[in-house]
Amino acid sequence: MTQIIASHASVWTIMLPFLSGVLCFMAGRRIGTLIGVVTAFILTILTLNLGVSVFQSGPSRYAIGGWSSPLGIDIHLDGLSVLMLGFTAIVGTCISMYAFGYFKDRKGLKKEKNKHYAKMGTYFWPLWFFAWGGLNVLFLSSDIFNIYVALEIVSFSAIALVALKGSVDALLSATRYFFLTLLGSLVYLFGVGFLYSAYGVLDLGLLETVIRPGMISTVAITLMTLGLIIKTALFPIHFWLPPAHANAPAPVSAILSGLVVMGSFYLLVRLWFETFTGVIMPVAGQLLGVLGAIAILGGALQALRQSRLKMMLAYSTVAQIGYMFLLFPLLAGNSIGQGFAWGGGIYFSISHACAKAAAFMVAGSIMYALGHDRIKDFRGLAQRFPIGVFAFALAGMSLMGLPPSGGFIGKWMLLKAAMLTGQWWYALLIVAGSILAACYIFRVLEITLKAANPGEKALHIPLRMQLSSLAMSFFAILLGLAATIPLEILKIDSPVFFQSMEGFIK
Amino acid sequence: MSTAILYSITGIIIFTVGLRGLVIYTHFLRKVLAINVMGTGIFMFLIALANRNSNGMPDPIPHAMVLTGIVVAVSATAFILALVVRLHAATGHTSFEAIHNDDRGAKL
Repeated sequence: MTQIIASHASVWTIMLPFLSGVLCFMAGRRIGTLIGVVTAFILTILTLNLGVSVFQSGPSRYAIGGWSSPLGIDIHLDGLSVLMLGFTAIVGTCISMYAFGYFKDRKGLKKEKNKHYAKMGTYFWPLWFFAWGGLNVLFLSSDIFNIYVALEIVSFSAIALVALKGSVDALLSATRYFFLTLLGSLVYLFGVGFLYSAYGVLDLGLLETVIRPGMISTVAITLMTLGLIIKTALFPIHFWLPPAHANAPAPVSAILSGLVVMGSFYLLVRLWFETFTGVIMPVAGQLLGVLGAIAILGGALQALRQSRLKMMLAYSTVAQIGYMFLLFPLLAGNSIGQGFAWGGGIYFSISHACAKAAAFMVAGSIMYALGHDRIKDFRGLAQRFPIGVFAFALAGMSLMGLPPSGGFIGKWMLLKAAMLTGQWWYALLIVAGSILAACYIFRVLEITLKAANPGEKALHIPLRMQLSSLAMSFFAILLGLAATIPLEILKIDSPVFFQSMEGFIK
Repeated sequence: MSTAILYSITGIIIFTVGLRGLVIYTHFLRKVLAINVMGTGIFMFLIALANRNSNGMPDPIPHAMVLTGIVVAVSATAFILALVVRLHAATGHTSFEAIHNDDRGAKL
């Protein structure tokens, strides 16, 4: 079924971002920005191309340098990895366009402040492309140790991006983020060591064939899962996420909440349902489900209490991560429910990436214009920045799960899975979480619609920033209107029984 | 007990000692050291693994993993030290608690 492909396109999706990152670093801000934007577009074309080839000719493997596993490292292309790669490219391109405007000199701002933004812009591009390259390695690599290195590359660039602002709160968040995320990677690495000690292979596909239930497997899986949970910021280890995501510059918040979270979640799904199937005990899935449930309710309640928009969105991320983890208990059920749980969980993570990136971009635009993000002072924003507020409303629809949006499809499929597997309490939870999400989104929208306070000064938001956030939120809605395409891609070489969904996909 | 198992168990113990340090110590530098101790524990565990072949030939893959791991650990340490130095320069403190208890920290 899997064939060796001759095309090097998959290698270039990894090489290109790293190469551009180095070039951006050497070229400085002006040329670096240009290189960055051009690279983003090339990467999108490249990944769409890969997607089409996987769609037409099925999954494939590529042995880097001609050394195939177990000695070398394989790149594997299947529905899931191509989908992740593609959405990272789409979200990444919108973020790049946004950052293009964000770090430019701002009219009406003091020279000193503009210098600060210029400096951030210089370092943003290399770090962003290292993170992007790391994510692509994560999605494509089929070697668990190579994936560890990818996780570290993503974390280090993400931490540096958090610290980009250089203020005390940014440095503090970055330091806290560092200790937690490094703890996560070390625990994951220990798990890798245990697996290697028992089976002597590192390739995901080979591991799948040799792994057996037993003490060492259980210890290894527990360690790897624990490490990835810390990195994904599932309750109760979520506390580092809100300050890190909220204190970063807006394009960085979008990268972290949209893409970095999706990366470690993807890996957990890949490990659990491809490599470790048959070794995982259902009770472990239930445990993750309970943690997810607490995250949904706790995160949403915290989001409601925030007075700053970016902090609210960061807590919303905590809640939405909870939704993603509902995939784990729901997949334990019967085969009819499994297709929905699998599709729903992954669909939800993709739509969240689009919607949350869009929401953070709008939050950044508002901060750009007003110089703050206090929700109670948002009066009149809908009149002054109609495009931004419209984009926020569209992204909010997806976060709440209103039809027709990507978030709706994801939640609907999870609901269906909950009903089909007879775990109705999760269905109740999904609905309750959506209502809470509606409360915090409408709270913001309501204030923006009120009449403006007279005499408030605001900077003009560059059109580039407004349009890229709008495009991003359109994608979040488009995911609801054209759900067939991503779901069809996800079906390719899917480890989970998908037949049951034929009627739904059509 | 074979030497490999002895080394593996020692590696696990070193990892746990490091983990304890990361949790209980508040000073940034101690936390950085604790992370490095944890890493050393894992490296020791991996090196012990290289002894898994019955013919006495060491397995090169764990060695490669440790080498890569050391590179990652060195860059991580350099990076966090730079962050901590910046934090110290900005606040004069060396732990999360001290920064939060500071009245400047209260605003954060």
